[in-house]
Amino acid sequence: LARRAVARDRLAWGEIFEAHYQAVYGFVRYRLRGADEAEDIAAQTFEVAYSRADRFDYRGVPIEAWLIGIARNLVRDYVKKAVRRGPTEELVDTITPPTPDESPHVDLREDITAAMKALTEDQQTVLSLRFLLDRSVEDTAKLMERSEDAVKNLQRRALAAMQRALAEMHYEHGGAG
Amino acid sequence: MSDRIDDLLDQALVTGVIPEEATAEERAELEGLLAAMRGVKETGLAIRAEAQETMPSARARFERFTAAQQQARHLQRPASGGRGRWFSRFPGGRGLSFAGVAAAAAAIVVGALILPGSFGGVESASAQVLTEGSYVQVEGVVTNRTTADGQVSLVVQSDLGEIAVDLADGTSVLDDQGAIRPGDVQSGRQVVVSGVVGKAHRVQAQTVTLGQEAPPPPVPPRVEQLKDLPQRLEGEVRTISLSPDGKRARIHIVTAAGGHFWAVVEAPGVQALLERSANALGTMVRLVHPPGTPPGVFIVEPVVPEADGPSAPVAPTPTPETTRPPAGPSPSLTPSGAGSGGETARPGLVTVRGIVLSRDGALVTVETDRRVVTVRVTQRTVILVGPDGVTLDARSGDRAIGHAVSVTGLLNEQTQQLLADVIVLGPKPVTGD
Repeated sequence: LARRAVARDRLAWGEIFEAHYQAVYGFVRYRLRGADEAEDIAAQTFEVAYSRADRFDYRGVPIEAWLIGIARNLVRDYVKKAVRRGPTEELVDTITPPTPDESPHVDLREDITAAMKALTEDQQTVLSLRFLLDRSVEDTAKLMERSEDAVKNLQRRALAAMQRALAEMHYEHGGAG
Repeated sequence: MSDRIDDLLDQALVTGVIPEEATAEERAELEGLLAAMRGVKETGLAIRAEAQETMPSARARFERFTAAQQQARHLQRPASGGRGRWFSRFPGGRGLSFAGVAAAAAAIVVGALILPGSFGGVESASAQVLTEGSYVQVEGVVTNRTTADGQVSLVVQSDLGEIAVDLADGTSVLDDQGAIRPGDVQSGRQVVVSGVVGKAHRVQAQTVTLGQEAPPPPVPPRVEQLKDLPQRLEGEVRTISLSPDGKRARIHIVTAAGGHFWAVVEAPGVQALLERSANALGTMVRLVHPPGTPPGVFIVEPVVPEADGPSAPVAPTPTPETTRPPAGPSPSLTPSGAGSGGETARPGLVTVRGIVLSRDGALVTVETDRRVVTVRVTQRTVILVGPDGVTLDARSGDRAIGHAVSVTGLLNEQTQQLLADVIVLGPKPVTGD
């Protein structure tokens, strides 16, 4: 499949899209304001990958790792450009957690998403890969080009940061606790 | 210490149980971490559902992109030295540069009776050709780019004058390196824009294909409206515009002698050009005015070159029947390997003609002479209604069932669905007694 992808075989790219779109979408979703932005960045990821297909080394990096790397850069560019545009409402929503909801019916998803944005990029990445995309420590290590020990350490620190962020939003314990 | 708690957490994540060897202090820390993890996982379920919902439109966009990429590679060949400032588009001996074609076309131009219209100026030609709601393909040079509230807009200097082009998130922007962001478009690049005309003649771009750097025309040419001609007029297509009701089209051509003309033409001829290629610009065409055609309205047909000679054959004056989209592929219009029976095969692009059998949401089934084809309609599909009694509301409802239809788009070989780019609805076929 990777060889056909390098040759820009459209059937092969159809298979790649079907196999990896959800993972790419999930990976970028936490860092963006909403579904529209996530869909846009996810779609762009495949467009960039297709455009650069001849540069892909299919003997070295798994396709998913390559796509995740592209997605990470696209999100990074998106946020940078948003920063350059100034403190628009969209930017504020993208990179900072919202004001805590004082109502008793807190939308858990929004709080988790907001807490995610308080983490570092590496912390977001490891949580996305491990617990959103259900990748093993071994696979996550390959995707992030880290050692397995480094991933274990990073995931703990990421969860601890998540716990603190949630606590700051009036949770006594992280998550559903 | 951190190594130990890292390992304990990893064990807990694998087994779902906090290891017994954890101390009370470690257990408390792990419980907090696992609670945070559960929050992430719960959110992940919602994100998966969201991804599933967005997948069809993202897939459609990607399929459109890959097809446009193929088209872009064709467009981005270096311009030949002897040709105009735009793209070189005449491979295989179809070029205007051939002396025979030039001489023949120039003679025709001399013989043509051109009546300057009351809107003969450059600006008004733009307004006349780029009518609101029309699907257009136009080319030029980017002279300015602005961004306001995240909206990227371009000013494109075309032969019709300055054209405002708005780029949306769904717009595919391509250069010779592939996809780029709308905000990265630089002034001074050649560009081909396809999209739908909005308010104030602004083009809402679907695809923007960038070519080489080029200077804008120092003096925009005068573009005359063609109102009458005694014979035929040949030239290269520079702009097309298809009205939303599918009844009329407008076309802007440049002749070998350098004359610029725009004309109102019968829509089926332009639709046929689109069916030949996703990008109709650069095609050599002739305009004719056969008996029975309303005054000031012309019929456009492609000039098909001879296989081994530069001169374009002069076809007989078409009869009204030949001005309709052909029921099947014409040998002169169809690349080798084309299908038959109402389906025209092209690399990456397929045109299907048949009858609408049913519609289920975005999926329309069309019965051709040979098989039943599933057509996927997206938000960016351009839907045109034919001239014979189809009303606009048929575009969105079940009233389209039973109507003739021509669909040009991309075939998803995996799903075997045709992703519609342009749909032309025709009348219900008349059945025999």
